[in-house]
Formats: sequence, structure tokens, C-alpha cells
Amino acid sequence: MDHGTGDEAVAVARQVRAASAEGLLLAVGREGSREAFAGLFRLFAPRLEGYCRKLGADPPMAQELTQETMLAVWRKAATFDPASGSATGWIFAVARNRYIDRVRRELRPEPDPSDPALAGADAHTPEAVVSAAQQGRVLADALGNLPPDQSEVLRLAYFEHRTQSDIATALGLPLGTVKTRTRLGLRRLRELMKA
Amino acid sequence: MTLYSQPRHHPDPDLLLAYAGGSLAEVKALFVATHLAYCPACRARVRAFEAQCGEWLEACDPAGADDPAVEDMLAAVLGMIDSGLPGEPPPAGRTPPPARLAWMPEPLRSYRGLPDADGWDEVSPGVALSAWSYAAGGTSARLLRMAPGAAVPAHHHAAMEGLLVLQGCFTDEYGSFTRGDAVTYGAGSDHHAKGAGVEDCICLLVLDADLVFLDEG
Repeated sequence: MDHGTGDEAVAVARQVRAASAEGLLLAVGREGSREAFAGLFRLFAPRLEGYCRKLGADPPMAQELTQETMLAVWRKAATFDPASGSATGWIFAVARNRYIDRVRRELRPEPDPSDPALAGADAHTPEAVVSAAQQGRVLADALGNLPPDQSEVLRLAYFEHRTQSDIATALGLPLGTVKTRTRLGLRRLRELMKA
Repeated sequence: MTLYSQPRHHPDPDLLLAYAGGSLAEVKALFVATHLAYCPACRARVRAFEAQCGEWLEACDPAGADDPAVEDMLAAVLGMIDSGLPGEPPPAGRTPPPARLAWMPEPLRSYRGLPDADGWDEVSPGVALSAWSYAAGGTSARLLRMAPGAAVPAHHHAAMEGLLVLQGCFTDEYGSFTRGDAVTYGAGSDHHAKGAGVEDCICLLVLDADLVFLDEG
């Protein structure tokens, strides 16, 4: 039997998970399906707990944040719009906001989609919507296509909230190398935003 | 409703990534989020970064995930759902902002005391700082108002300064900035902002250190 190369198998597995996360989240939002919620829970709760631990939460706090995040996923699932982003990104954002609220004890300033003063809410031509979406895709592609050593330092800095010197220690690299990789990765993104 | 052009000056990807990933402290997050209210392209960029973070989340090692513990947690959460838990708590004591601020987008319009603080302190002819300010984590936020042609007095930049145009426009040696444009200046850089156009220019000003005006005697 041909299972393809390891990389392909990993990529296919990721696509299947992403598709199932979206299907499950939509079933929770549209039908209030408990089965779909249980599926999402088994998929994400262990990973959310692991992620909260990486951010520095102790085990009881990591469990609490995970439960609160999944409860918020149940409550807010109906507001998920697959046209405006991925299901996994949406769940990440719910967890991030719980973390900022409970651990950092800060507000999370966000634009209000129902605000009449929001640009693009009143005057979005189809062209403007498409061009904004393209800006997002360009950056997503760029992040996906960065050399792995650059993408790894960006992941540690922005996803795991680690300092440059912490990253250098974790990867066993000189601080200067970490700074260079970060600068090159950000420069690529900056160039694409100006294009 | 007036049609405005989209902003041409965006927050650096460092700020957008830190905002999407959640490491950005609150006052700078306010700066980014208020720019997002003007900028559909940056809203899409932040969503793209969130999607990337979602992929990284899926790739996370599960935390000592023995199956019984996950099933116990699931049962506990389903129990909370079944016990008819109260709905989402209403946003804490958020009063509708006054009509005089209708031109200003969220999240700035309702932010920490801003709706209740009226008034300006003039720092030089035609240039004023809002009576309102908020500081946390070493960064402060306030509003800066420049009359057309009025120049902000020379000041030290010991640390990062960010300006986001909310109304009108201003110019400095780096360019001309209009509604929704976000620009940041690094520590030690010099710039001389000056109100331009026909109406007062009002900006959200964020600073990583105290603002110290030079005594030009």
C-alpha cells in the first residue's frame, strides 16, 4: 500500500483535521450539535491545554482556561463565519482572548463589526472586499513559504510569546542569529504589505 | 456617508503579528485595533495571522493527554452547558458613548474613561493634548490635536512613539498622513509633525515613555 512520503501524509492529515474542525464548528453553531462539540473538544482541548502551559499557565490554570475556552466556543459558535477565516484560527482567537483576560488581566481592544464608524462596513464594494481578502492571502502564503528556520523563530516569538534571548536558549543559537532570522522574516512580510 | 480612501500607512508586521498572537500589551493593542477599524486590508492580514496561529495550535503537543482526563473535562463542560448556565455576561458597565464621539470608531470610542473625559490642554499655539490619558505596562495613550499649520514643539523620543490619524491630516519629514494612517517612530528618531489641511488634525498618540517637551526658551 502506498502511503506517500512522510511530508505528504502530514499535509493530508492536516487538511483532513482542518476540514473536520470547520465542519464540527459549523454543526455546533447551526444545529447546537453535542456530538460535534464533543468531537471539537477531543480534538482541541488537549492541544489548548498544552498551549496554555507553553504560555506559562500552571496545570490547574491551563485546565481552567481550556474549559472556559471550549465553553466560549459552544456559546459563540453561531458567530463563526467560514467566509471570513479558518475554524482553527477562530478557536485560537477565542483561547487567546481568554488568556489575555484571565492571566494578563488586560482588555482585548478589537474593532466592533456592528460599529457604524467601521470603515468598509458601510461602503464595501465587491472589489474592496476581494482586494482586502487578497491582502490576507498574500501574507498567509508568505508565512507558509518562509524558510523553516525563520518561520520557527516567528512561531516562538508571536505564538508562544517568547523573548529573543529565550528563543536563542531554546534553539541553542547565538542571540544574533535569532535576531537576524526574525528580521529577515519580518522584512519579507513588510515587503509584501507595500507591494 | 462620506467615502474615505483606505489607509496607506499600516502598522509594522511586528505589531500585527503580536496583536494576532496575543503578546502585544493592551495600549499598543488599542493602537493596532483602532487602525483595523479603518483598514479592511489589515483586518484580513490579522485573520491570516490568526489562521496561522490556529495551524500552530493544531500542531501543539497535547498536554499529558490521557484520554480519561479529556473525557472528564468534556463531561464537566457538558454539565455546565446542561445546567442552563447563564448566557454570556453583558459587557461590564459599558455605557453608550456620547454623540460628540460618533465620528470616532471602536474600540477607541468606549476605551477606559475616554467617553467621560472632555477637554484639552494646550502645549503650544494650536497644539493640544487630551485631558484623557491612560497608561499601562510602560505605554501611554492620549489624543493629540494639531490646528492646520500648527507644529508640535520639539520633543525627546526616548522610546517608540505611534500616531494614528483619527481626523484631518498632518505632515512631517517622513510623509503626509491622513485618516486611518498609522505611523511609528523608533527611539532616538526626530520628526516634526505639523497639522495640514483645513480642519484640526486629531491623532491617537501612544508612547513607550513620558513625553518630554524641550525647553526652547
